[in-house]
Parts: sequence; structure tokens; C-alpha cells
Amino acid sequence: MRRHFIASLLLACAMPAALSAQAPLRRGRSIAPDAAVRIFNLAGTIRVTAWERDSIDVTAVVPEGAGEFLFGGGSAGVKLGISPPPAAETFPGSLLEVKVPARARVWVKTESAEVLVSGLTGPLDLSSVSGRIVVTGSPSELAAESMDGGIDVRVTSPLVRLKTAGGTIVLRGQVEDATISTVSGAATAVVTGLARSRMEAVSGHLTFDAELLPGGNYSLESHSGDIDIRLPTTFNGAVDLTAMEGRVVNTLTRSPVHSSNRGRGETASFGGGAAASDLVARTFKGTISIGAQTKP
Amino acid sequence: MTCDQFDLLLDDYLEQKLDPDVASEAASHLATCAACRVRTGELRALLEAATTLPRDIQPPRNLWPGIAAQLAPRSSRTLAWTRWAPLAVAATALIAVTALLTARMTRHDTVVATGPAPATAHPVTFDADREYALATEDLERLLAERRAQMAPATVAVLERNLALIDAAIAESRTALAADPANADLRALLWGAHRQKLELLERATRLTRS
Repeated sequence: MRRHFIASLLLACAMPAALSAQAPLRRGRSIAPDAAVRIFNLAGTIRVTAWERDSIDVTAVVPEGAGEFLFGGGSAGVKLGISPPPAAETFPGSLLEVKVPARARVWVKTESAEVLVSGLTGPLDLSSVSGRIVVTGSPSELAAESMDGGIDVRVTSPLVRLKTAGGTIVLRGQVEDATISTVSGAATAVVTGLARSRMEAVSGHLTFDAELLPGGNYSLESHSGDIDIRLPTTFNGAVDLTAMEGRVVNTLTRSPVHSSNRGRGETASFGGGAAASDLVARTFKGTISIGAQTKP
Repeated sequence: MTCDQFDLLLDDYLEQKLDPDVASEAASHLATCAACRVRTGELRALLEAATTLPRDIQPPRNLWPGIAAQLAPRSSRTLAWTRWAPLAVAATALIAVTALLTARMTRHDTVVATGPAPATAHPVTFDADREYALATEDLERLLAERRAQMAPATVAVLERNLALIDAAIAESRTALAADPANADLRALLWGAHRQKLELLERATRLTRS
């Protein structure tokens, strides 16, 4: 009995310390509807969601040894995050759950944390080294970049910029102006309402599936990666495809593919008309395939 | 002098319109700031390239609205970034300058293509190639200073992707040397250069500092 009492006492003494390290921390304050919110958390998860209040609410779960939770700022802007232990090579990841006004201007920086953003209508600026970035909502502007993490975006937005080196990019939704850049990662854009776009890769595979709007301008470029273009069967655009030392496969129209570059490459050009759009695709040694969209 | 202040003076600095004291201050800043050197070098290359363009060319289509539309939305955010990472601003400006340079050269390509192909490499092509290489060297130096702060896995990703870009640049250069008037090859070469600059800039910015 006495042994049990001592064990219980020791446990009771130990519990508060353990709980204080792992129990969720809550912070919040009122902020302007379009306040700037800067979030940093090197590892773990960052989840940012919109809510219908002019305030910010943060829940942080910071394991022992993960660092220190910081929160500060005023009505116009708030900065929050996890300051990692000084000189620590590795440390456990922390969870940050952040609720902000929908119009807030949100900036996130991480190394390996997963970044999940939903429902926001203000500008977003998200950067990661290896963590995955997932965005849904209607941001007024979205810039997301990563070295190696995937970027998965389903938004309605006038302006989207997505960049990665080795990660995969998927863009879906309604976007007016899109820039997608990868080096070796694959990139896919399945978009409506697109007026301008640039997709580029070095060895990554590019997939473009969109309508061509009147006066629109679209470019796709990959050095050695393949380029797959899907358009509606009826389109008003001038299409110019060049594979310097690669192939062009056209299943969209009956226009012929020509040999070029002394037989090493192929080209195809077709379409045009008044107020037509321009679509230009180039590759050095990849294959450009153009065909019909499989769905409207 | 900060990078923001230098940025405001850059045009006048290149055109030698600054008062001597201010010019000296700008030069001092330039001597210690690799990011501003990158931007200055690119803008100087643009101005030099522009002087070689024929005055009577007509662009095949109006490229500027598309470029302007892409640049304008970024500018509203640029000032906020500068306080955090002057390098990011320099690189953004560099990309904008690159876009202008490419647009100018694309116009030139159209004119060249209608006449006989030049027997030697396009001089503007290789001046710009050199400028890109110099800009890249500056960023590579910055990155080397911060490489120890990067996770080994990140370094591996970076090096693998830089190697891919370097191979693409080498292939494009070789092909362009054999076919100097080829506008598509030139566009691919600029694209690879720009991607390398962007990747280096991103890697530098994303490392802990």
C-alpha cells in the first residue's frame, strides 16, 4: 500500500511537467480583417483556416524539446511560431492550428512541416523546404514554393505562382493567371478561366488541361520532360509546338507534324483566327502530345 | 545604405546621375551586397542589350501587357518582403528584368529570322549568357556560405536538381552554338538559366539564417 502511495505521488509530481510540455497552448487576440499574419514552424503541421470573426485564435501543441511557442503583434499584424531549441540539429515537430479572418494576409515559412490552408480569400505566401503544401479556398493571390515538397492546390484565384524543385505540383480550380515551375517534379494544371499561364520544367513532366480564352497567352517549356496538352476539340487559338530533338504527337487536329532540325526534331503549328489565343510549347528532347480533353 | 535605398537609386546609379557622395555610398553598398550586384549586373546587361537592338523592328504581337500583368501584382508585396529578405527582392527584380530581356530578344529573333542566318553566334545571346553565369556565381557563393545550415537531404535535392539544370544549359549551349539563330533554342537556354537562378535564390532564402 505504501509502495503504491509513493508511486502515485511520484507520478503526480511528474505529470504536470509532462502535461505542460504537451498540453495545447491557446493564444488569441482581435485583429483587423485584413491583418498580416506571419507563421513559422520548422517541423510538424501548420493548419490555417478561415473563420467569420475579426480575431485570431491559435492552438499550439509543442512537444518537449521542440522549442518555444511565440505569439505577438497588434491589430494590424501578428507573428507567431515555434522557435526551435538553439543549436538543435533535430527536434520533434509541433502542431499549430491557426484560425484567422478570411481576408487575412497570411505568410507561412517552414522546413518540413505540412502546411494546410483552407478557406482564405486574402493573399497567401507559403514556403517550405520539404513539407507538403495543400491549399483550398479563394485567395486573392497565392504564392507557394518548396524545394522538395509537393504542392497541391485547388482554388479560385486570379493569380497563382507555384514553384518547386523536386516536388510534384497539382493545380486545379479556376485561375486567371498561373505560373508553375519545377525542375524534376511533375506538374499538372487542370484549370478553367485561364487567361495566362507559364509552365516550365527541366526534366519534369508537364500536363496542361484547360480552355484557351480569346487573347489568352499560354507557354509550356521543358528541356527533357514530356509535355501533355489537353484542349477542347473546338478551340480558338494558335498552337505552336516545337520539339528540338524530340517528338510531337497530335491527336487533336488533322494538322501534320513536320520534321525539323535536320530530322532530329518535329514541329506542328495550327489554329489561329481573330482574337485568337497563343499557345506555345517547347522542349529540347521530350515529347509533346496534344489531344482532346477527356471531359468538358 | 540598405538594399531598399539602393534599389530606389539603381537607375540613376547606372546612368551616372547621382551626386558624387550618394554615388560613392551606393558603390560601397554594392561592394558588400551580392544580391544588389546580381540585380545591377542584370539591369546593366539589359541596357547594353537594348542599345544593340534595331530601332525599326515591329514585335510580332504585343508582349508587354502579358508581362506587365504578371509583374504588377507582385509589386504590392515586394516592400513587405524587403524587410525580411532583400535577396528575394533582388531575385524577383532579376526575374522581371530577365523577362524583359527575353521579350526584347524574342522581338529581335523575328527580325533576324527573316534575313540570312548569321554565320557566328548572336553577340547579344552570349553577352546575356555570360551575365546569367555571373549572376549565378554570386548566388552560388551566398548559398555555399549557408550550406552548412541545410539538412543533408535538402542539399541532396538541391544538388540533384542543379545538376539537371546544368546539363540542360550545357546541351542548349551546344545546340545553340551549332544553330545560333534558333529562337526556340535561345528561349530554352534562358529558361534553364532563369530556373537555376530561381532555385539558387529559393534555396538561399529557405535555409535557416
